[in-house]
Amino acid sequence: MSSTVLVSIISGLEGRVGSNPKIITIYPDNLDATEEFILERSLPHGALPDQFFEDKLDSRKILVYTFEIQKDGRNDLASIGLVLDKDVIIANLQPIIKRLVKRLNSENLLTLEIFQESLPKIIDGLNKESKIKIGSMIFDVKSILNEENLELKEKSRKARGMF
Amino acid sequence: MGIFHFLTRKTKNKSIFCGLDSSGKSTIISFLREGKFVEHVPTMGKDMTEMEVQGIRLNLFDMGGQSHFRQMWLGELDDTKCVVFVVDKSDPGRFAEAKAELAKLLPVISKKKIKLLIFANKHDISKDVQLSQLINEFELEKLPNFELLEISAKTGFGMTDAFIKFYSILTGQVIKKNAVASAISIYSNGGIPLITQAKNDDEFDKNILEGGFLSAITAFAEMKVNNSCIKFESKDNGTFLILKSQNFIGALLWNDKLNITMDTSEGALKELLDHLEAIGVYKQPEKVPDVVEQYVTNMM
Ligand SMILES: Nc1nc2c(ncn2[C@@H]2O[C@H](COP(=O)(O)OP(=O)(O)OP(=O)(O)O)[C@@H](O)[C@H]2O)c(=O)[nH]1
Ligand SMILES: [Mg+2]
Repeated sequence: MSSTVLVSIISGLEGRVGSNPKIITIYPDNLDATEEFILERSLPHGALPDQFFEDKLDSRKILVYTFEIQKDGRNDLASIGLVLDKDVIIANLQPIIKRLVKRLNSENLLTLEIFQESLPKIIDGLNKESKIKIGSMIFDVKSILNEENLELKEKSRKARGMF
Repeated sequence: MGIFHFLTRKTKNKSIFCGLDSSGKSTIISFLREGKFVEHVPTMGKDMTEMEVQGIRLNLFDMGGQSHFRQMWLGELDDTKCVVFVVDKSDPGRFAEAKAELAKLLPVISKKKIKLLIFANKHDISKDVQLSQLINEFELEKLPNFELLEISAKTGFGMTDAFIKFYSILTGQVIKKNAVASAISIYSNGGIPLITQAKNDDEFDKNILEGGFLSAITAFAEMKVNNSCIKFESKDNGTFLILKSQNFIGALLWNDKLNITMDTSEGALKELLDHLEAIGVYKQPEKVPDVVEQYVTNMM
């Protein structure tokens, strides 16, 4: 089975004075494009917290989710951008991403540093539809998919044809 | 009219809000829209707000102030009628940087006869910084014309006057400020008086509101009702409106000389209480008088 998430990007625009939008991390580091091109897509102009954006990169889909990170002064704006296999059902992936961010926030784990550190685990969990463990938090992708009766990918034509 | 008209339509009554990151542009716009303080994340590039006031549509472009976005400001000037340049008055360390950014806009502003309005924001935390200091440091006296106003998008200080000025520059129309009360008092939710303000500092109205009905406030404080308004009519003085929010009780004195409906006054009192809740000032009751004093500049 091919991966769901091919490349993932965390971007941020910090609330502090003198900040600028920037890419925090890319995993795995293999997107063949300029930094500017990636930033424009992973943190689109006009973005506000808690929005989804969809785009295309060749035959692959891009899904971006924006969120805010609590800070003492002004909050940061951040985003997770996912370059996806073309068979991924974006509408089904959206609630998973949103729930993950919400959960990290409620466990006080929503920081750019933790995201940077844990991105491989998050992507691995999404790809294998398994448990994502960050600190003391366990986010079980499979059980959420089951609970909500969702599939992350279209069944291939061939597989469907067998029934 | 047809689709052609629609396609070639230009943005009408367009204004752009520029200024360094964190100067308060988004906070000002949301205060104008909602009448209360709201915290924002930094603006990612640009954001647009449309408002309709007295039947006229206004377009407010909120430009991101980070250095990454500043080259976009010039590109928006083309069909703009008014530039609002926002300065964080509490941060003189960044005046030079702000001045340099403003200087980049000035040639186009002057060539296209765009109106320039400068908001010296965050007055609530920079009362010791005088406008004359800003005029000197920005060398504003060299400009052919501009308007400079002191405001606070946190406490609301001067916001109505700023909006009246902005509206008249943008539309050429005048709006009048209506007083919504002849006096306003704020109490803690336990009924302790925190501050009373009267229109034109009128001691008579102040005394009526302060002295008139403390027992009623005390009784109201004990009732478990939020956001419901009670009214007392007094034959000689007008009507007292009392409203409770989670942490405060607000009272105002209304009479028909104000020339607005009692409902409008009640709405304004509710906005004031919402504002006090939104900025979290109940945690520091000693700050309430100052915050109320600044906000009611908009109400009377
Ligand atoms: N004390 C005080 N703080 C304010 C005032 N106006 C805005 N702030 C705070 O200043 C910070 C920046 O406000 P924003 O409105 O996001 O600033 P901005 O100019 O839109 O910034 P960018 O979008 O980054 O260009 C926020 O934390 C606001 O709460 C004010 O009048 N007084
Ligand atoms: Mg902003």
